[in-house]
Amino acid sequence: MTFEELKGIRDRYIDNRKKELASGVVVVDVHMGTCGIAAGAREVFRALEQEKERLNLKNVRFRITGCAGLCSMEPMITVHRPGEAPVKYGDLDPVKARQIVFSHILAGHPKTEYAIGQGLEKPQERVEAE
Amino acid sequence: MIPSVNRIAFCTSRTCRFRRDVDVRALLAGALETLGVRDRIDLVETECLISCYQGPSIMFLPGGQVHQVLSEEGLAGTLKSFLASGGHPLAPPPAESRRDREIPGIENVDFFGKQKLVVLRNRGHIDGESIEEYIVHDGYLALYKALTAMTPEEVIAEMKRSGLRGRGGAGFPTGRKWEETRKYNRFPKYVICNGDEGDPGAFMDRSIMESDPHAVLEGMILCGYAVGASRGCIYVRAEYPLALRMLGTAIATAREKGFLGRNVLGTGFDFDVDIYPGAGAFVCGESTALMFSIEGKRGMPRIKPPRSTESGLWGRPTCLNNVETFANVPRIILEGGEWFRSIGTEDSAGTKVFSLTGAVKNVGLVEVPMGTDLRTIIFDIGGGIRGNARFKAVQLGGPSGGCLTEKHLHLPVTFDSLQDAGAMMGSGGIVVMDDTNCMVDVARFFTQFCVDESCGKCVPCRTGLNVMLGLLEKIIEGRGEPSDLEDLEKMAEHVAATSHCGLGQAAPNPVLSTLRHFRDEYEAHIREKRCPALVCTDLLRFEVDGDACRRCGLCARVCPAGAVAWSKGEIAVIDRDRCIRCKSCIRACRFRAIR
Amino acid sequence: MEKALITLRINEREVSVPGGSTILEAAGKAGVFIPTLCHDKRVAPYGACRLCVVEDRRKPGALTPSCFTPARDGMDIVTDSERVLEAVRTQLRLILADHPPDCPVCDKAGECTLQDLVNRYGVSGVPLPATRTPGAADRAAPLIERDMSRCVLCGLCVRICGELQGRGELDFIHRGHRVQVGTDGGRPLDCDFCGLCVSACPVGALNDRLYGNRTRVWKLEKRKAFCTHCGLNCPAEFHLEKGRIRRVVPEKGDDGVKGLLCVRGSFGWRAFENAARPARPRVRRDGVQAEVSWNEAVAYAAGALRNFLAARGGGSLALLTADHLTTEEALSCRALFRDRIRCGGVGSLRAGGYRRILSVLGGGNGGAFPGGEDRRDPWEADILLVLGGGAVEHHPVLKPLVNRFLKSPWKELAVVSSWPDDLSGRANLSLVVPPERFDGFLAGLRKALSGERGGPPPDTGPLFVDTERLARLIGLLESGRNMTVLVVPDLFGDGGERARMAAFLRDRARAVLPLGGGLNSRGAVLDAGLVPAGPAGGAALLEAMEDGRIRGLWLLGEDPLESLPGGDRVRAALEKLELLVCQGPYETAAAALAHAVLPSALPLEKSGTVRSLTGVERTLRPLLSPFGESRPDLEILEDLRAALGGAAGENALEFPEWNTDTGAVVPGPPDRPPSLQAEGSSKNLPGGEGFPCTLVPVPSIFGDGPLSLRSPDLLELRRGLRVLMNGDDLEDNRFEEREPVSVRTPFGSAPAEAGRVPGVERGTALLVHVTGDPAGLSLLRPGTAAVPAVIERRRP
Repeated sequence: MTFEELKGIRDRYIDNRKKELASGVVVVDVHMGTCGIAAGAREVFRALEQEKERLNLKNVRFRITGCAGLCSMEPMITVHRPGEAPVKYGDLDPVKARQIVFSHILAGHPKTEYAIGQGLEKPQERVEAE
Repeated sequence: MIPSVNRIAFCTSRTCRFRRDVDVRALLAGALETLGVRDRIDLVETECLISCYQGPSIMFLPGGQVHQVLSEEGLAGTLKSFLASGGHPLAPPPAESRRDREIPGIENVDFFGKQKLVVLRNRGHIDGESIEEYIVHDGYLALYKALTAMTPEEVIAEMKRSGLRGRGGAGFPTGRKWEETRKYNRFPKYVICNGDEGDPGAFMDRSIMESDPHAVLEGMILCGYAVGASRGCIYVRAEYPLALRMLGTAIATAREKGFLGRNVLGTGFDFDVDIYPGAGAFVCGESTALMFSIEGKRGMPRIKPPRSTESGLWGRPTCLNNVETFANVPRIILEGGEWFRSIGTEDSAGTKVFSLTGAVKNVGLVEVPMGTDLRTIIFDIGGGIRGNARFKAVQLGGPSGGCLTEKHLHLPVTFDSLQDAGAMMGSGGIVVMDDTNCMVDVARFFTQFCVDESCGKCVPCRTGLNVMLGLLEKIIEGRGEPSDLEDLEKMAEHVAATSHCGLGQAAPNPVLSTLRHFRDEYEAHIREKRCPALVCTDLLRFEVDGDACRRCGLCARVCPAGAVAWSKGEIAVIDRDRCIRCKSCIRACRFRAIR
Repeated sequence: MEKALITLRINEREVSVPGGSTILEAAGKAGVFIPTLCHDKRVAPYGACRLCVVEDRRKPGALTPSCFTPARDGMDIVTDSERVLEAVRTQLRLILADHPPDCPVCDKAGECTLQDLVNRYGVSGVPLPATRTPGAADRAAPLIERDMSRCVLCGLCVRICGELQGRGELDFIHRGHRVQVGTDGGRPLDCDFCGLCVSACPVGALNDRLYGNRTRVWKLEKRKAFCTHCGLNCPAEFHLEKGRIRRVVPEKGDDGVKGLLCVRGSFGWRAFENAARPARPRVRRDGVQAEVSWNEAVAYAAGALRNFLAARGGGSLALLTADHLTTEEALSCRALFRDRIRCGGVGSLRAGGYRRILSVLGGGNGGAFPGGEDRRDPWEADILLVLGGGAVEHHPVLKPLVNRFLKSPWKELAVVSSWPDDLSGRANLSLVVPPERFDGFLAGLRKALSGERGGPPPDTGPLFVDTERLARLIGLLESGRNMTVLVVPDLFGDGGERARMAAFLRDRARAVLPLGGGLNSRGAVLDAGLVPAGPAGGAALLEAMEDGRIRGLWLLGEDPLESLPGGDRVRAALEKLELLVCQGPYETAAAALAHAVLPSALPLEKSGTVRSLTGVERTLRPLLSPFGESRPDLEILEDLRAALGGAAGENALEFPEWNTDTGAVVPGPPDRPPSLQAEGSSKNLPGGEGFPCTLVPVPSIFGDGPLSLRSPDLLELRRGLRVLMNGDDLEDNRFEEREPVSVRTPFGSAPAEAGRVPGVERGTALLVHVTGDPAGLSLLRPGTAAVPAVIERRRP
């Protein structure tokens, strides 16, 4: 693994991400640390997957990430719509999750009553936005 | 290229149907039939689409465009034009300003905004199982830099410059430990990551291992390079199956990419890592006991000298560090020791991850610069006490730590700053207590924990703690005598002064600090046979104080035994013959009217 | 390498100790008492009891455990400040909380560390409430009683059994206040029964059952002596009450270090009380034995000797000695039998192997044998090479001694044996070569190392060993590192080839030590010159008796019927003799056939000089009163010499002179050309068909000598003849552990108990506890290391 190869991995990832953005893919991070799982994150994730399946949504991609830090608001997800600030949602269950699919992921209207905040913590950045 | 419409979703939420009692499905079906495309398009039900006052709404899928159905004719026209045209752009999102009014920026949310992420910089932001994502976020750049442009001595110098101190609780300067290990010329040498994290209420290391396992791994490899080790061991308590899995995946993918194994990054440096799950013993978090555990022996701490850096695992020089300590290392190598030292305080550089739990609104992981004061952590980041309770005490460092009161909230949290107050930062567990916590009960809880987890080697911890537990139980059960406090204090001091390892030496801290700051509570238990926090069941009389009772009847509603007699506007009365002493009424009563 | 001295103060006294010493050691030197419970100098410090805490006046308030904390320059230690005393008292109170008030019925009373400390520190008052469930008792195991309700969890038994004895029978179970010390599965003890745990236990949790419930420590008279079961002569303390032994414990030296003992020394002392001893001399008149006075007996014996010599000559007389004679007695014996009578054979059954090895080492091959005085410390070497299996079985204390040796990480143990013995399991390098190929292997290896040419080049093929291990062994031998070689004889085999190997290695070795033998084999041979001669081994002797070359036998503590394989042949040969005299402490089977029975004293009943296998000279002093009219061998032999008369100047006893040029006091056997066929290989023996298994007699850790066979406790542990085989063989034959089986060889058959032993090759079985078992002896042929055999289930 040379430095060039290391850089190559990074460049390829950024490239793919940019392409994804261009084609309008929405990325949803489901925060599944042990705390999240204990609070019901798996059920939330399943609900999200079921909706994706049911509605044949080709432009939604899920990512399993770790705990976002605010454990008392688990289960949490973060929705990244192209060109918009990501929104962190908390205290979810399958019903609320489905609402977010329609309201925010598809229609672009964040479900403010479940939202905790928008944007990323610093120093987290969106690598593709360089 | 977004494919053309193949489904139409219609909102079936109650509010929509209330406004317009319309059978949207029939309407749609009819309209599509008319257009001759019914068989090509699925109709699916959905939740509320936008704000309910605009319903009933329909959404074209997969594009997601939403339209309101205001009339049958309008519907037909909308359908026709949509199906006729080709591409379907995404529905425009709401204006930024409206969004910003309704959703705060993360930086303005106190819980997030007041933290400073170094170790947790990738939290929730990367898929921990993906080595590519780690690499994209500057992963393994530090390793690359160290292996190709720095000597091991230079790496150690950088670590010393950073002032990083062990995050597992003891706070030993990490750079010095690495330097010590490097000194000894017996091979193979070992690097051990202590992921046992046994403190009740602590979950910092767990979160780090689950969210960003590669950071830990990179730190270990850097350590191996610096000290001259070729083997690493990660000891993770078996109660963390997800962490074990994440680390396993991380190791496998790191090996694939050449960050582990022989000839790492082609530089001739060999380093590989194995995972060792624990088996349910808190004492195996003590470093020498941990090493025995890896060797397959009983986890009991040994005498020192020799120190583990000279003779540790399998009798070889071993460098053992905590998960959080390792997670700091790649950043230090990349940004430099000076940068790290610029954060935090003079003697405690960098940040610290705390697991904030207990009676706060915001429970979770908090990373702040060393030197942040307790008030900021508990009230700003933690959001203060939840419910309508009042702050009473905060316990730091788990069963090894002491408790602090309101008087101490201004104190900065560093390795050394809390000692005079009788507490220590420990590994980062912070448990906040409100006035529904009984401090005697808290002391008993932590002492029981240490009694269960004691390895049994030395007399003071094995027997002395038990004697202390007996005294606490005596007090809690209402049999306390005045001499018990003196006996308790003396035994606690004895155990702390003569125990063999950190477990026993620190186990009396909860007792000693609660005695120091909350002696009146102990006295109430003993002299008045009363528990001011209304927790210790044996001291509760289960009677309603008529002056305090607000006659709300909540207690009668929650009582599972039907022992509370109440009628509207009357004071509640508890029938003690029926009462099963479950305390549901006490927990429910907002006015603390039941004693 | 000398360590720099450091100076510190303890209770106002200044003391200097070498760097690396602990505060406790410094206190000992300064004469200051520090209480300990979990400390024993035989094992590493542990830090569990925390009684040894002290205070440094430079850091008042902080308590430091002194048993493992290194002493440093300038320390100002106090052991009697109020803080320290309070801590010690609290600690004792905590220990007492879970300790039953058993003092009135506990055997340890009067010598109990806990009792002593409680008294010394004045702990009194209401005890703290108990925190633990009391441990259970194990009274099912022989010899050692465990009453764990008294256990203070000091861990000494665990450590001494694990670190020193290396057996690991006891360990901590559970955690915290639930900890107990016990065996896996809570079963009764089933270990080496060395007794070290009993000697280490500071309270009455581990007790000697032979001692228990009989007396109290303050009634005992303690005498320092040494164990007489084998040639290691381990220092031991005999505790007597009114002249009777009550127990034997490892000696506590002046430096406070307790010693080591094995099961024979610790628990085999009832052999000294064995009443099956002849009280008065007996002589045969008219075919019947009758008791007579000593004067008559000596006259008779001298007369019989004179007649025999006149008729047959000295060359037809053989002497068999068990080497339990003191050096002075051996001198007298040599003067009488070798010098005066010029007997045709001087040999030994008990010590045959040792003597054979010594004779090979001493004679031929051009090397001078250093003589009896040499005492280079064998443990100073870096490599311990053991040639032959059974080192620990012959001398069980070698086990902790080797464990001590191996504590230094650069030291190595290599064992080359014909069966997987106890020491092979401990070795860094273990080579097991089947018995029928063992001698051939050694000869071939010697040839390869000496670079001899001639004949086909030796290749490792026929050596039948793992080439990687062989390479490591050769590397070790040629490394030039400091090496000690231990040479171990087989129970009944020849042992000459391994002796030749040892002689070959002598230049590269710091010390070469033969093992085996009796109490004073080294003194007898090297100091007194009672060297092997003639048909010295069992096989040769039997043949010589059968073909008439030897017609008279003088037995000194030996019993061929008890320890010479051959079954009926032995009895027939004995019956054929024209003169048979039994001179020894015990009644033997052979004594029934003897012409004269001369009862002699046990070593502990007489005085004299004894030299151990390692060359240390010790003095025996009478500990017990003589049994009946038995007399020390010295008196008997001197009386005989006087009665026999002889040339002037032959009455003085003189020590022999060594010929330092050739070192050849001991005539060696002719140097045989090495061959790949071992002597006495089972392949040479008839009856290979129908006997699918190879049976190898091996020594027993409980001892094969006359003392072991007369100790009821050791006999109980032995459980008779046992045949041990590979676990798979056991299963294939559907034998259970301890199943009664029947063993048959071309020479005889015997009932035995089956058992499992790890590491043995399939198709090989070990035969233990053969001596003393006539049926077992009948299975073997004298002088062979292995015989073909078949093992069957025993029909009731």
